[in-house]
Amino acid sequence: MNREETHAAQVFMSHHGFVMGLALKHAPWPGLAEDVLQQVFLEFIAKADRWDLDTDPKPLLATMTRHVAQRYWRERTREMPEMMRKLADHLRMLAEERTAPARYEEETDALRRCLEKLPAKSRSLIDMYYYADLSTAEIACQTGTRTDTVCRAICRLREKLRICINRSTQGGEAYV
Amino acid sequence: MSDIPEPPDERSSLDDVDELIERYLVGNLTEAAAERLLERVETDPNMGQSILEQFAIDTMLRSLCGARTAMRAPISSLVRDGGGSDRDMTRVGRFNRSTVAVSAACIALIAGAIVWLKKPVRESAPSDRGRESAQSVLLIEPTTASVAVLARSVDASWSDPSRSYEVGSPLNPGRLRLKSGLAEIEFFSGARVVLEGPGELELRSSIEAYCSSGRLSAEIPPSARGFRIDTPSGAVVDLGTEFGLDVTGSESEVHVFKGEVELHADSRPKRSLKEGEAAAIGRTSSVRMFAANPTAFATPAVMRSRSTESLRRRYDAWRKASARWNLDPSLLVRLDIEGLAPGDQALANRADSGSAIGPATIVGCGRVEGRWPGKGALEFRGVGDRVRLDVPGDLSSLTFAAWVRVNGLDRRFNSLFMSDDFKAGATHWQILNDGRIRLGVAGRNGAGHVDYDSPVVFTPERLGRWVHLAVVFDGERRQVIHYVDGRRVSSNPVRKVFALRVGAAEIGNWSSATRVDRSPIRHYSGRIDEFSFYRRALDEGEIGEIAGLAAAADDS
Repeated sequence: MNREETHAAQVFMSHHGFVMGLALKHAPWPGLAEDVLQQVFLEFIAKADRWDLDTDPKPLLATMTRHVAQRYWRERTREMPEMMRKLADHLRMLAEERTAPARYEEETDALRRCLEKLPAKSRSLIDMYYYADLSTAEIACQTGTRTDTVCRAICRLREKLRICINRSTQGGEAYV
Repeated sequence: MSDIPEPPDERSSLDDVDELIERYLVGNLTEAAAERLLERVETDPNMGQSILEQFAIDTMLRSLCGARTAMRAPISSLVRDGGGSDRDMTRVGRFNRSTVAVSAACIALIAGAIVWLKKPVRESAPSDRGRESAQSVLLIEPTTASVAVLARSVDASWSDPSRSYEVGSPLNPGRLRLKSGLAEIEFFSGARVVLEGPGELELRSSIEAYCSSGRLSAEIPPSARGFRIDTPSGAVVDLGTEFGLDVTGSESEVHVFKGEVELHADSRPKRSLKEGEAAAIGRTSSVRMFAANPTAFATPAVMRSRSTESLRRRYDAWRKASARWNLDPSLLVRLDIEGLAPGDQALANRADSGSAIGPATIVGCGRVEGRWPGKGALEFRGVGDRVRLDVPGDLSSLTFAAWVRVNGLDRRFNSLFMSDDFKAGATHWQILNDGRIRLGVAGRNGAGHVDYDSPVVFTPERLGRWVHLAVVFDGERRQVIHYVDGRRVSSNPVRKVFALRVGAAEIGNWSSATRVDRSPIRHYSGRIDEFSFYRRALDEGEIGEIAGLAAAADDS
């Protein structure tokens, strides 16, 4: 990496949460936001010598993210069966209608705090599902419950974490 | 929303919202599950928000924990359409902890990407190293390689049957082979060339072309000074002029009608040619001078005159055919938008069998020119512009057809012909902002609504040009067919059969005053110069006839 690219990478790193938040808004489909984030990063670095990195890069990153997300969305949904595409389009419409600003970085920090406050049983479920990468069926088998029970438990847990994050980002205490 | 039965072992899981959400998050949705989830989301606005919240938290958790779904695989490979049960919720391609330890944070992932993808990115970087403003560099914006546009044509027949050049088509660099007729090409530099068939012209850039055979004339405005046409025996460089070029075999004749050109004959010094002069240059022989003969070429002025005459003939032919079409007993509405005086609100319904429906009412809308000089059209521009009509009764089949010139797809939904309400078999014909055309049919007798979409039709090249659209709902054959310029572009099976209705409806807009909807503003932006509504399914030949006759006019 030359000096300009290194500087551009540093600038991007300090705004990657901002980009990820926008990617989630414009490409709300599992896995796609991460792809958008990477592509924006690569395009940003590729043209490092063109940017005036002394000014606020957010307008540029926002525009790049929107365009990459649109492009990726078109490519991804084109391959989808009809109902899947309609669902995806509907969810994107809902996501884009949201007026609240994307606060991905702030919320990720809050999520860390919330995870620390999780009761042992919930923490164990998170560990199995997200760290150990066990499927809901595998978790159900290990814990002697049904798959749909595991699904429900994970969904409820995410809902609780959302409430905790909201409380935490509004200045309240993080607890679950 | 579907009559497609689900596998018995899947049915129960589709009733569990949490399982549906989980399937969505792990990329394991079947088509049936997607449909069920969509139904839930459409009927419960909170459900959509809930899914998005779950999605955001899931993404953050995966980012923190280092796990990630491998959704880069084609989505089709992740869909198990209507197959067996997905109850095990296997995460598709998730990495386990040991394999992703190094990517526990997003930054690490990105840093890895630098090494992994740096080379291809640098190779694709443009050579222009100048500093640009942040807003001006969006190379990811859709762009066009076109250098010219086909401005007019008269009886044009192209040698390559796989290439269809319609008037208004942008032209990319490449070879045009005109078998017969005339084609007027406007280069983006402003240069205008009339090519006579048979002839071959290669477009190289907006200021450069190569003529290997045939005859052409060129009008070059000051903005295109320096416009150059190469031939096998030399080149003509314009110095602000009008000239003709006739290329046969190894000899080229250049006739200057106005101004001056530079002649660059191979291996000979360049020489200038002035108004009234002509020269013949061969590969080996010397330059032969003689008087220019403007009458031997179809100039842009001649082209305009011939084009006008051709358009008039088409218009006359359409009027004659219209009288016959109006007599079709299944035709309920035919608005030809002819004979309108300024300020007229009543728009005559020419359908012989449409007396019960009566005239339509124009609200707003500009009175403008249609497909041909003298032909009327309505321009829809403002959010209030619309044409209202009321078509009572139930229908088992129907056909909508219209000639439209779309300015742009400004709204999420751009109305063509919309029932005021959307219940009990009502129909909504509209263009989506991604260019697809949709016939939506509201649910009836307990069934949900169904949308029948075409593939993307309105790409940028189709904007600003007259296009014939038709959609057929064939209740007997149980299919919905979309047509563009008389050609079938999609056919979808009818998923639920019940009577359709239109009732109070609008062309080019949608009355939403009494309705709360996510996209209440759906006005159309563009022109419409003909609209027809039949109470039966027209076949492909009939659609081709109502589109084809006028489509030919578009060639002029």
